[in-house]
Amino acid sequence: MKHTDMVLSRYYSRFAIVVMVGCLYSLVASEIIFYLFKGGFYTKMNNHKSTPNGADEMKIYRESFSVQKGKRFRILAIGGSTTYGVGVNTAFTWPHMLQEKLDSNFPEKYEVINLGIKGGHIEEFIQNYYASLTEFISKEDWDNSLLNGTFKIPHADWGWKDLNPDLIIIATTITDMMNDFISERNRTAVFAQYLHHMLERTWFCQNMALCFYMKKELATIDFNSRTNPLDESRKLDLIQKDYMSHFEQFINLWRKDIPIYLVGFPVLFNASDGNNDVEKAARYWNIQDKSNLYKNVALLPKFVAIGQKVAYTIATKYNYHYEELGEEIRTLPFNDRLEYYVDSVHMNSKGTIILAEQIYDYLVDNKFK
Amino acid sequence: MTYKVLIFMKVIVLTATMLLFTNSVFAETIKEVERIIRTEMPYPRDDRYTIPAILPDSKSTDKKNQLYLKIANALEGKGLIKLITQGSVTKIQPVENTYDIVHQNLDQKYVLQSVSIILGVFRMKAISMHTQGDKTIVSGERLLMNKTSACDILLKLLPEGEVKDYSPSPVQWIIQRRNGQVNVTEKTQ
Repeated sequence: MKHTDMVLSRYYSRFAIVVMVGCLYSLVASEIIFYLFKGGFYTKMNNHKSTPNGADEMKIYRESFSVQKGKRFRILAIGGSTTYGVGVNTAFTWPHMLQEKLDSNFPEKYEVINLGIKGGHIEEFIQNYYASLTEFISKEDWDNSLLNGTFKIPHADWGWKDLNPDLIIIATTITDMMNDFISERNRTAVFAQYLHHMLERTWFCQNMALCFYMKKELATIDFNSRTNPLDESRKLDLIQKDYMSHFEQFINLWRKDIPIYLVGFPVLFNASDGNNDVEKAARYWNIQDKSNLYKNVALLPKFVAIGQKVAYTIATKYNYHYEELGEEIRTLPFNDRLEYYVDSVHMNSKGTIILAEQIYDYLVDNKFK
Repeated sequence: MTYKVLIFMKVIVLTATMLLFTNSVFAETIKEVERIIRTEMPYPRDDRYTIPAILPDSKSTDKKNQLYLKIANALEGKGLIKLITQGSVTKIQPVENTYDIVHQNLDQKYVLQSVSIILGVFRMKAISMHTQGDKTIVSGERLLMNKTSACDILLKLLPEGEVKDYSPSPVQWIIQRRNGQVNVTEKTQ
């Protein structure tokens, strides 16, 4: 063997050892960092300003409420933007209308707390269970902030667990699924952001962050890239798995004796709708940039189907009641359906009234009195 | 004789009825045309005027920007929005519970991109129609119902050329059928 070959082989073997040790180190370190970020330890080690029920803590919620439970039957309305009431005045959010209807028939008996978050997603709900966030963080920022942002997310010293509900209504969300499709992340920009924040940290944190990034990148390559637009069915499968595991994780947080009612809301586009309907919707709302509508007509029905599958599976497994609300809106011709929406996802007051009434009927029929 | 006259009259009445019936079946009536326009355009729909959420330069001489600023100031006066000035940039901040007049257009990150001011609801009425080759040209009017409090403010501030797009006005619709598909275009007059 020539001298140069020997040098090269030594070089390669050393390189292989360095890579193997590096990978091992990254896997172990990222597991630790995952543990730190997943809530328990992190929430315990941070001391936050305590102002229960203060206005600052209510920024992400539509209406203020008291954390302390009174005598009334407490219902938590957990969900995304439709529950929060994007597109409608407070009086026309479904939790508010449900409260009014209950108050008019059973005065002082029920309390409905609107925990809807615009752009709300299950991972965020899990975080809120332990400690309620006080600031809105979009799903995209949430994903990008796993390394650095979590430490900056301001949260209250109370969580949803402290609300002691008698009934929980959970509306399926589509934000969990949307992000991977709608906003293709610029990985280089994200990494640059990580590096920027890492410089402010200790040597240990910097290395942890780097390892976490490496693991994330490896996992991404292994999954055949979640941002590859060609591999849609694979992406949908992954999204369904993620959504299912997060949903189950969230459900399992609550005490088993608290009844949970799962609901699904209709969106504007059905699977049979096409580009012609996008044009109609754009004219109806006087929208010049139709790109989002085109994305929505192609993807929303698929996301809704995933939500339905997951909710049905969980309802069957845990023996919860699950209902797809607004079926009469879903089956209307497209033009008539348009009258119930402010955009392709959110309903106007005409739509939310129907949702509130159907939930009210469920409560009365099931004798939650 | 009387019997023959009666039969003759009966034949005439039957023929006239049949002619009328076939005409109503095969000819496109104004109601049918109206239904097509309602489905395709569609009607009734909100009359919306959209302003970007960030107005770049208050000192700019750009006419469109100046118009947006004027409208935004007028809406702030009505308590429908708040304006935040940061240097030369003016940001529109919606006021809670004004969704029935000011619709917020958010992006996927729920960041406000623009606001759509709802002036009222557009309804349509077809008055006359004629065919020109494969096109059906329908004349009619667009009515503005359920006017909101922002309607008059906006119609006063909009330049003459734009007012017709947001106010009740005579309209012409051109219906064209190709390969089993209906295409409707709308022109304000």
